[in-house]
Amino acid sequence: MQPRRLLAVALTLAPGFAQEPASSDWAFAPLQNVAPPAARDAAWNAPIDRFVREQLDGAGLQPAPTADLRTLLRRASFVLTGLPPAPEDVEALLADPSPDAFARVVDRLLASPHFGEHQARHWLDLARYSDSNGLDENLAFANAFRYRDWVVRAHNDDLPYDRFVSMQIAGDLLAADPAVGIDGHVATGFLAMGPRMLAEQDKEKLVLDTIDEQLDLVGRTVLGLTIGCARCHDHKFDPISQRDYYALAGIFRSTTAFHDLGHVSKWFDRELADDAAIAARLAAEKARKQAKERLDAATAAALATQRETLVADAGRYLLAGTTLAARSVFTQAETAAATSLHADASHWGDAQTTVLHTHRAGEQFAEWTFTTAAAGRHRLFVRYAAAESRPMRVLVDGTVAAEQALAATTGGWLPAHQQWHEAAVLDGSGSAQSLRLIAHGPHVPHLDAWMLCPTDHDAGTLLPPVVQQAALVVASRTGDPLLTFWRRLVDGDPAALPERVRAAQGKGGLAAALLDGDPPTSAASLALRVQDLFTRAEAATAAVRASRDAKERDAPVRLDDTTLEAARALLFEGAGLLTLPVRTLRPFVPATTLAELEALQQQHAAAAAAVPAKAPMTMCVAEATVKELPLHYRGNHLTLAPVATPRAMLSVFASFVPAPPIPADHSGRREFTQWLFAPEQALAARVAANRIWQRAFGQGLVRSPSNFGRRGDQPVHTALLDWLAADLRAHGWSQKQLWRRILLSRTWQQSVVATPQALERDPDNRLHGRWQRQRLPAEAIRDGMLAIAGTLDRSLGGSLLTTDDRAYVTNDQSNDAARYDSRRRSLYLPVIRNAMFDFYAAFDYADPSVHLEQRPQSATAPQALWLLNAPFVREQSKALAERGQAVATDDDGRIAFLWRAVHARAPSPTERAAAARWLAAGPQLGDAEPWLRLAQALFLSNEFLHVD
Amino acid sequence: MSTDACGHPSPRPQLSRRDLLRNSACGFGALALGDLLAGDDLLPRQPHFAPRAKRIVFLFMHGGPSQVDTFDYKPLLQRDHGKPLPFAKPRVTFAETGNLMGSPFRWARHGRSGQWSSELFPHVASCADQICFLKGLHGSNDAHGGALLKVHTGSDTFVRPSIGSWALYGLGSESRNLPGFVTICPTLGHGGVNNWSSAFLPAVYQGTPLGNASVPSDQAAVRHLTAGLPPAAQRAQLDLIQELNREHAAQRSGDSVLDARVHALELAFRMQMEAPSVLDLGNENERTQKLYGLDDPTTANFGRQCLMARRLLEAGVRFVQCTHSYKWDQHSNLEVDHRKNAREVDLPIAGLLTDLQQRGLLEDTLVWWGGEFGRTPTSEGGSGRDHNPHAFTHFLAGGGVRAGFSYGITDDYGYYTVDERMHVHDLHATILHLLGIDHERLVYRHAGRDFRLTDVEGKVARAILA
Repeated sequence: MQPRRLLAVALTLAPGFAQEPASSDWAFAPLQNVAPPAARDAAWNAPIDRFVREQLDGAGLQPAPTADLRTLLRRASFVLTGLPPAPEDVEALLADPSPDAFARVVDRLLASPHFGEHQARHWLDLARYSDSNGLDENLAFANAFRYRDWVVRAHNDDLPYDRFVSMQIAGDLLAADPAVGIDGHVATGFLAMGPRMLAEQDKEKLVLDTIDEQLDLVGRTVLGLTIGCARCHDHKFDPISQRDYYALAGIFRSTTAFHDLGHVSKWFDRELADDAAIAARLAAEKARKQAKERLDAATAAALATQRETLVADAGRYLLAGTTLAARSVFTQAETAAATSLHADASHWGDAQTTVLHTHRAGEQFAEWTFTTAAAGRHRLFVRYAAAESRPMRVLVDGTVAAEQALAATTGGWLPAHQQWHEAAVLDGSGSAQSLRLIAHGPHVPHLDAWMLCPTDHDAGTLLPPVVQQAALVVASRTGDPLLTFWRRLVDGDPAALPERVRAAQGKGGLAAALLDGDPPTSAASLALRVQDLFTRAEAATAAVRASRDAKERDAPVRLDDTTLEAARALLFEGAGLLTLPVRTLRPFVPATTLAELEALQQQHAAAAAAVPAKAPMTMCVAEATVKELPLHYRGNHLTLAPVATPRAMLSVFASFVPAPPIPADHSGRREFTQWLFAPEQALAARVAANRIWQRAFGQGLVRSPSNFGRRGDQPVHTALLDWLAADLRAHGWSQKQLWRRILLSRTWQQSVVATPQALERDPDNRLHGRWQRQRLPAEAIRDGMLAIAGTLDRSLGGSLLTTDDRAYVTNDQSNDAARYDSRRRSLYLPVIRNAMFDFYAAFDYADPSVHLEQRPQSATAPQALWLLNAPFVREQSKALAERGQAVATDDDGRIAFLWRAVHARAPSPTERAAAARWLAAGPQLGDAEPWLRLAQALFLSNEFLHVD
Repeated sequence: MSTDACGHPSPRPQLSRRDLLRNSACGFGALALGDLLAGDDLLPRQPHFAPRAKRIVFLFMHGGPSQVDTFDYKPLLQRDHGKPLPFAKPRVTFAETGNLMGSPFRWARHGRSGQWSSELFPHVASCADQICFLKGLHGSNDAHGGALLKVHTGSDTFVRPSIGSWALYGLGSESRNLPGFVTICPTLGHGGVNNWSSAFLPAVYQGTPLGNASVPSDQAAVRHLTAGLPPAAQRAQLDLIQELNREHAAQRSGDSVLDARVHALELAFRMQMEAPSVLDLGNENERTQKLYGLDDPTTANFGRQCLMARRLLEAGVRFVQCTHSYKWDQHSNLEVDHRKNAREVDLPIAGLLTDLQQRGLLEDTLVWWGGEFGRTPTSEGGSGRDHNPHAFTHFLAGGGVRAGFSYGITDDYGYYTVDERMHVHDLHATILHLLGIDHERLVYRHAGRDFRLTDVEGKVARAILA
């Protein structure tokens, strides 16, 4: 039986599709073997033109005349490269009398690296390309750009379309082919970069939603079929059953898109290296890790010994710290004498803590006055919270004491995140001085307090950094029962101690532990009592740990005895007496231990040096354990059919498109791509040819380019589309070949001129009797302005995203880390789901979360506001105006320059007059930059924003 | 028989899709061009039936306020504090929780209707007789991102149009110079733009953000609304552009695409002149400012949002959202932080209700309050509560809602809904109903099938209609 007949049978038998085959089922049929109709007009002799002319003639319509060369060059430049032609190129073409002049221009544009950039942008719309996940957790896809750059290269290299698509679905399985190589992994980024509900806690639902998104994407992009419609039930209109859906879904269920499905799931990626290289690196990395573990264990043991000594001296540290604190200056930040900052106790601070933070734009500073107890060197410590680095400059009496202070981050913005950091070493004079902190950037850390401690404290046998820590703790720790008790007895007037002891005696709790029996008579003797408490607390802590299972031994300890717990907490809870960073204590480790540590350190360094550099990562998919899926009733993963559906291709094609058998131990993605591009499978070729037509004309022959099903657009030109699809196949799936054919057709070269007759009989231009005016897409508007202003950075590839991979681009505090101030082509600007660049959103590129088959071309007020008031437009207009000032000396010459730069032509007398009127009137009305505004007016004009 | 979102046979929807892709004249979220462009998709449209509310304000409490600490009083939870939950926890939970934790707040009945409220909301409680509490709400996602998208778009699986976009698509805009769907200080996290995007609906229906949650509301503004030129000079520059455009059109066959752009420029200019005055709260007298708590730093931020909302609604905006951003997520320290959060919003919300009432606007304005989910009656770490999409409380007030009423019953501890249940889809269906829209007939054809806000679900809660 003929394939067409087989299709008819298949359609009537298709499960859930017991409907008569309709004329709209043309898309499922094999390609028609069509020859172009006979030429009736010598000028309309190319195959495309013969198809188009036949239909026009049949409707009694005349084609539009051919557009002039200037118009054609601008059209071809924007359509192929997304950039305007240079005025010189226009002039050269107009001066070239040879008949193939335009053909050579088309070849030049097809060979330009900007061709790949612009065509990639079209494909990226289909592939819902993004630099962030969007949906619930907007984490950065910092490696997505590798996929984007590969798409650019693929178009520039004219990679055959069948391989281009196959690599995106099964490239990891084709990587052994040298023609594919490591790019095979990069290409599967296509399947990987969908928006995923990463914090979905029902992980099976997450996996199935991911498969659904991939099936919908592949179906619409490659086949022009809305396969996703069959997730819950048989497709309502097209011959795709729910069984078909789960047969295909099994292929993707046997493919993994995640490393793990933790609380926030982790999408899959891999190194850009072959498997052997990755294995070697992992082995070296394992050896390094083991060396590190040995080093860490030895370091921990050394520090544990040190902990014993420190705890044994903790009472003396408390005393020494108290003495030092008494000689220091401690100041709450909010007491600043002058500041641009806002004192806040409710939003970033809390009931106990008032912090200073940025409130309004401009210089960010705070200034205090202070007097040290004595003249001499002092260390400045500042307590603050900062989730991102916000360095400040320190000035004392107007002189810089430190340039880059407070740069360290503390893990958050709230009081709980506050830490003390040393900011500067400075000279205290003993009389009134000023301290000023000034931010380098637009924001400050959340400042809580600062302290100036003399550096000359004599620690004796004690460790100086621990004494320093103790001083900070004594001065600033609030709400600590033991410290409060200690301060009440010791602070201020030491001579008053005995009297205070008497007053506190007999009150139980801490008083009982510290004052009963022989009452202490001095701070030192009280410190001994406290020391006793510390020693007992440490012993109790050790006892608790000893009673635990090994794996929970290091978990935090709380002591039941409130007195001992107070002692433990003062030592180790939060910013305690002995919670010092390891680096602070390392210099005080004994020499023998140090030598041992040094040796381990060297071993670790050697092991680390032996680890090969990690190749960059790329988002991709990989094979998983094969798992076939049962039907999910109503698409619900909790209501399953009893048996799994074997993996298979769409059944409607089964009788005439051979389906390679799927091996039991492979996902079947490779076989799926073989089936997609089998000679008998016409749909993929039709969809591909239609998309090129769509890019060339603004509308496809099928105007629903991602839906060739029954609810899709029914084309006028099915024969032409089939001819184009066959031509694409016959030329090894070369897209550039088809481009050239289309651009050299008379059909494409028609002008926008439409007769009233044509407008009436063919208002939508379905018969292609003229060129349909297009509005420039967002990227071309921005890139065009940069190119014309002479400010465009034409470098290719790379990433402009500044966020680390898997870090939040926009977070739950609504910070947005993406920046758009580059002068690179728009293709390279970050594409951020959930917080799209406002310019993109205004100009109809609003949602990169979903497959976008065609950009709308709206004309809206927000676009006008953007063009009128955005700084970007102002900057480009200024640059252009300045070029005009430089090249010509009189108004006439400058006006002519602007028209040539923007429109590649001379201004008409009317335009000259209008420009001159503006130049006279603008300044009178208060505009200081009339040339800038004139240049801007040209950028806002319809002639710039549209392609004729 | 009605429309199934998968496109089962249905009567032709009254509000059918129109092809805006090419020549629509506007977009700023939405600007009704009215007299400028006939056939514009933002022209006010007749709803399916007489609406009870003509406009709506959503006061969104991001993070998930606890129902059992605000309006859903559970005496047995107080009694059984510290005991184990006597029934099973859900199959999927976000975090681990322990035993029952009683509400740390005092509870009392309020108003003639005797509705329960905890001490957290004294001012809202004083409006109890105007409010209809919905205590049987439930959703399907227990993570913030999914739950936010669910509440705003009806889907926690895919990117779908926001309820504000659907409302605007269904009803058009009453304002000539303002966006039809405005969201004040919205969050960029947890779905971000997708919570106010029009997704596959034409861009004219997308929400217009004023600032975002990282800026205080006194800095919330429309982007690029400020001209760098004096008005007269910009007018002259516009005249120049339009002259160039006329010259351009005269040399070619002009078409509606070019006309639309000419009009868009004019509209932008007008909006630039008029929109800032609507957002200028200095035009309000001191008494009104005080009513919204603008005189108190604790309440000023959210108070300004509420007052801006009233001014926008008054000026004809169809859908306004205020967001109290990501504050209500008390996995720990609930007693202190819920108190603090409530203090920031309680007075402004009551102020808005009172102000709308005094101006006669409450009658046909729907006020909608709530978060993305509730919280567990069981304790997380001793002082907090985990996310709970299985039962939570929202309230409605104003246009067409049964005042002084409570609908929805949860179990003895407030973990699950038991009776008078409302899924988020049911809430959406009910809200659209109040706006005069049949949620089953508000459809849009996309990717081969008809879509609805409520997917294939949604039941109007008729019991709460006045």
